[in-house]
Amino acid sequence: MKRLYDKAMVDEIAKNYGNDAVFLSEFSRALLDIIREGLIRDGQVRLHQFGTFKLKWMKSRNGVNPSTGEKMLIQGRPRVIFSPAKGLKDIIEPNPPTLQPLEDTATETVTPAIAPAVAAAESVVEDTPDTTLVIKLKTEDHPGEENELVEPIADKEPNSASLIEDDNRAIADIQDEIEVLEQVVDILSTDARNDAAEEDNLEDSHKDQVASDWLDSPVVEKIKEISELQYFKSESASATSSEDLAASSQAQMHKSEPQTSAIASVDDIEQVLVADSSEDKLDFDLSDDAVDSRKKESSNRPWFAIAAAVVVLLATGLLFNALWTPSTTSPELASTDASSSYLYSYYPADNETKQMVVDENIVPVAENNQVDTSTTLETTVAESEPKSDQRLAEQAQPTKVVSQEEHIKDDVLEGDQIIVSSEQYNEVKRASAEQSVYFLERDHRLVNGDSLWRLAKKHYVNPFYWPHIYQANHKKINNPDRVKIGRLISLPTLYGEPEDLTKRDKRNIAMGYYFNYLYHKQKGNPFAYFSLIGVDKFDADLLIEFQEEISRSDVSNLALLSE
Amino acid sequence: MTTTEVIKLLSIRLQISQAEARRCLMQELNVIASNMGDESQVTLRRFGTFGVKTTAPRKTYLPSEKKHYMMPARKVPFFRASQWLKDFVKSWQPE
Repeated sequence: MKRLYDKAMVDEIAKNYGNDAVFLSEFSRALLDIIREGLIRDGQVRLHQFGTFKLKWMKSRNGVNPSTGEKMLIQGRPRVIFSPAKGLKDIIEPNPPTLQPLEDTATETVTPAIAPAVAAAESVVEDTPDTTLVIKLKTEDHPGEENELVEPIADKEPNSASLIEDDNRAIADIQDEIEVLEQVVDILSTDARNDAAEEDNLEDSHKDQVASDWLDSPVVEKIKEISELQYFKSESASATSSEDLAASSQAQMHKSEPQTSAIASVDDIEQVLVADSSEDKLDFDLSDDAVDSRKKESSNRPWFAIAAAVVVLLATGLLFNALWTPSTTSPELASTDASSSYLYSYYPADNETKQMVVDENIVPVAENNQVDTSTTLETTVAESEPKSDQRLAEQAQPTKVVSQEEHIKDDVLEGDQIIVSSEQYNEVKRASAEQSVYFLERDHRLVNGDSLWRLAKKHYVNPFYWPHIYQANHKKINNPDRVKIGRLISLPTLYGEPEDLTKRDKRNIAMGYYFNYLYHKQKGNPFAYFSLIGVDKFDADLLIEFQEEISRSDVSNLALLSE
Repeated sequence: MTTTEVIKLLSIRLQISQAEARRCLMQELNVIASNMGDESQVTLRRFGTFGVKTTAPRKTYLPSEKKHYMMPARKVPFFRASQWLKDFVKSWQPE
């Protein structure tokens, strides 16, 4: 028996598949590492078409030491189990053996009453099959029926042979008939062609009549039957001539005409039915026409949809950013709700906007609990108005979208009465506490074309501040270079100016760069230390703080770069 | 853990594409399986031994048919974990 070890196995792989042996040894080591880790982590590792490694817990039990006879407790332990997959079993044993019945037991099962009879029968006829044996056994009991029983079995085989012969004869007869009929058809078809050539000038309706007459004739019906027969027997019969094929195809063509007309009529009925159903406006029409009509309808829609989406986006932006809502926007929102409510379902802010919208006519104080807060809030908000104006003016610089929001907000500020919830009040308070907040915290749902770099450029002016977003969401975002659409992330506040950051901002951004370094390090990127440049630039203290996490080679590389 | 996850981890660890990792994995498993098919053993350090053992033929009884049958000798694959792996796994406990 051969016995292979690691190196021999790797050499064999290299020899069979022409791969690099050094790499393969590294590969097999990594594979075994991963399997071991998987066993510990999940308790099982399943390799496709090979087998499953599994850990099974063996319970603790009472055992006896055989040498001393001493009783002792054997503690529970895991055990590695390998259950081979079908692919592996097939390689090892391509044709698994099946159960074989034991011959000795078969003789035992035979009852003694019949056994002597069997022996007698065997002595008489030795080489006959089992069926005859059985008959002879019966004949001993009823000798009169011997001839009757034996005869049918003798007749059976010749009967089947004669049947086949009859079939062959029948086929030959039919083929003869076909030949005769084909000649007739040829003659008739040539006549018909000549007639058709003469009648080219006549109207189509007259042609149709001729065709229908031709179809109704009994000769054609026979041809149809024959063509069908020929179609089924084409495999068994010898190769048919080209003339036969032409005749049969003509017959089929003629045959297909009434069918198509019938189908057309059925289609008409269906169309009528569909028209009726469309009037009823059933929601789920599976017929093609209804789907087409719907597509046409939907093709007219997108302008409305886009307009509605823009309004929705602005509304949500208002919710996250603005601290109050105007009475002027309420009719717009109401209209969009009615037309395209399904767009709102994606945004959780829909209901909240409705709550926030307050008409001037309605008395703001409705519940007793909110009386005190509302009155106090009015004053605080009034104080914070000029500050927010400044902020908006600053925010208007980076992009056009922000300027749109500002435009809306100007309208908002014209409103007399302002009511805000307690959460918004807290935000206002926090914003007022931080004197020069450039950008207030806001949630953002990632859409197509978004990246951290672009978001930073949009909201923080400087795109190099993108780690500021990453550090706030590094648990949600796996790969900072590729963010996923539809995920809700928070854009953190930027306390200082973009040109003059506070220490807090710098630290946050440095943390973001550090997280980026960790990510690339984990991925094994050799240029991971490039992100340490950002850490060094924004907050060099972090390099000292996370000294243990950062590898020395990276630090030395960084030093080389700075020089 | 499944094959796809193993391949992903391999590709990350060895800095190779997932397709290449899959190919190499299949090659290795193929060689192990073919060696087992030839009734030779493959011993991997710090992991265990793959091999084939032949079972002895035995009598069986089917109660549904009330008959005795002969089960012929069969080849059955086995894996014997090494002592190192047993020690490595010791810390594991079922949930």
